Amino acid sequence: MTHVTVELFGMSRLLAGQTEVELDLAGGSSLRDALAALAQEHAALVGPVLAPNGGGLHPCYALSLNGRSFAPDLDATLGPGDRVLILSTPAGG
Amino acid sequence: MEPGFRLLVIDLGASSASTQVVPPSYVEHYLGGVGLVVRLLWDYCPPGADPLGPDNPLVFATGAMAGTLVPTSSKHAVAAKSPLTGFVGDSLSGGPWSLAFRRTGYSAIVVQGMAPTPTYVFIDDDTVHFRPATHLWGRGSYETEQLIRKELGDSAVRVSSIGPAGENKVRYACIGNDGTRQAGRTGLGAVMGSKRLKAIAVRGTRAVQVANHDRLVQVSIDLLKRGQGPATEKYRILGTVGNVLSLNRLGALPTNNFQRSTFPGAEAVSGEYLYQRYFRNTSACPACPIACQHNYRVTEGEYQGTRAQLDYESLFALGPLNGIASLPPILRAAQLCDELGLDTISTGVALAWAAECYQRGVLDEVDRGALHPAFGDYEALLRMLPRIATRSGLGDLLAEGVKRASASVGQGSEHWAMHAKGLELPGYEPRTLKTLALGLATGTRGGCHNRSAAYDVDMSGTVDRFRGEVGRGPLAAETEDLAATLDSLILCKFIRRCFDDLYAESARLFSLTTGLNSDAKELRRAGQRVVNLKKAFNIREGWTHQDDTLPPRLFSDPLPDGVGQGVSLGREELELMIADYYQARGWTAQGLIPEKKLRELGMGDIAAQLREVHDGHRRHNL
Ligand code: SF4
Repeated sequence: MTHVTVELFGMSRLLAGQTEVELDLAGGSSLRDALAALAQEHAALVGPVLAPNGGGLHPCYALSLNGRSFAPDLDATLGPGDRVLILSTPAGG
Repeated sequence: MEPGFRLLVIDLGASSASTQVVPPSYVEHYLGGVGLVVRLLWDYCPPGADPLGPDNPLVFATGAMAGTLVPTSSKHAVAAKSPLTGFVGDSLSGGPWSLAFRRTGYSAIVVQGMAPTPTYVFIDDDTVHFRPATHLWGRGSYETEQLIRKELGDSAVRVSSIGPAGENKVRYACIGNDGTRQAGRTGLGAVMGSKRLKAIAVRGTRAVQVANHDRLVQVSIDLLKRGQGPATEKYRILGTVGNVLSLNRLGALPTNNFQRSTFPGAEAVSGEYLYQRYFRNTSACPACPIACQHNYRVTEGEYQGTRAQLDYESLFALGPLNGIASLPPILRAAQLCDELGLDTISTGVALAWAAECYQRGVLDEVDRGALHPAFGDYEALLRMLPRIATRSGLGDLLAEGVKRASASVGQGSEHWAMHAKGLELPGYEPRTLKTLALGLATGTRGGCHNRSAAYDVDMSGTVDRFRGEVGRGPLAAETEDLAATLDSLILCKFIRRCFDDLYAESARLFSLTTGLNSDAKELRRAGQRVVNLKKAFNIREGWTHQDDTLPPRLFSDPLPDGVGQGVSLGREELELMIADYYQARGWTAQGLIPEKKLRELGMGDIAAQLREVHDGHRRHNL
């Protein structure tokens, strides 16, 4: 089992109604698996934030692993304790 | 077919106005909006003009598509030589004023000279009236709008005006229109105040002519539909204030005057909380399906009755940057800034600079009648705002902007004066967004995210945002060109993700409107021309390579916490990226524009006028 946390920001937080989602995934699971599990738990995210059929994120959102790297390979394997961030891409104003 | 762009030239000293036609090549080469105002600035501003003297023209222009159905096109640009930077000052605003102005039949205004007494100008379609404004002097922007409408007896009149900050030539005063919209940056309100021009009121009743009406309507409706889809949902629902928590988590939220890049009170001032607790409704510029402007209201407590619009930049500057973790006083501060005519970003940065001065014992005199600024002290912040706008006590020093204020106070306070070329920095931490650092350092209007948007590169996943390296130059140049194109068309940046091929599709919109042949390639070149023109203006006004830099703090103070802990910006790292950027632009190693480059872009006239300046540089360097 790999325990990961998905942190939700902006619209994804409003749609899911919570700030974080804890996921227990099978060992060797990928980011793509984490997003699929998230979609199952929070169907409201599918469409506006999560692309249907495991296609990653809507282009207006960004995915970060542990707050350091962006748009990491969706097939990258997650490690225990990893934190997956779903962020709106910033925009000035 | 549009009979060309009409230009209104106003001489305030003589209370006279004349109509001219913008040379068609200007529209072809620079499109409109920012490109056009800067081109007119080049023509009308004599080299070396005092930014607050009568020679500095104040230029307004819409884009070619303003007043049409094209979504997000109801905007206007303003330019003058900036009293903050001494270089090109340009800013955008939008709303009903932009639309009404275009419907007068004009597309641009050049305001010259200085009125002998406070004046406002009323453009009533073709007729220009000069009216006394002594009774409006000292009043806030919103009140001024109401009074002018009442005086003219027409609620359809739209007003662009300055508040007390502009009248008192606060170097970062803005020009407000339609209640809550501002041409905010680079101190253009101070230029307007120096001319004793309180307001420009417009009543436009003419339809805007376009080259291919039916096709333009079809294409606009298609874009309108896309503008209502998921690509703009975050602007519609949460707005840009959603950046607070994201940037905080990424170690990129400037806090306590850039002493750190995470804010412990971020949740309390988050866009999400703001939305749940204070949101009332949204409003939109004409012809915009996005409606990104969020109106908030405080309904209880000390700040009950406060109504304000708030975007991320105002929230960051009046909140985390000053250590303030409570939304009601931030909303109140934003409302006050709008009324007084203060740019919220520069105001917040100036107050944060002062707070750090007190923290370090550099400033110790207490301003009578105001508490001194201190991180987390929102009462002091609120009490300082009118003092800045009226240049009272400490407010007079802060009204100069942090570059001048720190030069005057000395004692090392330049170290934490957070500006580039004199323009206070926006709400993105350059130490953890290294491509943005490059964009801020090289930007022609100074510390600005809107003309560079290089953070898009940092968040694209294609670069290491913690490291500056060769390769960032072309990427930063590309985001800058894109911004210049959008700002000149003018299309709002918030619609940019609704296009499949932004350059090709917007070239089409431009062609259908103007009848000029344009395509993606030509539009890209137009964006490059605008960037080069702004740079040429700066060179003409004395720019040197030393001006392309960032505040000392960013080089020597590593970030204390967050995912960016321990990170700073290396001077060599920045220089490496700057050299790469100059090369990508086809400029010299010193950042000057070779004549050949300007000629390649079809800017031979600018090249000829710059030659003397280049020769001067060469002679100086011998
Ligand atoms: S997105 Fe906002 S700023 Fe842009 S045109 Fe629409 S309402 Fe105006």
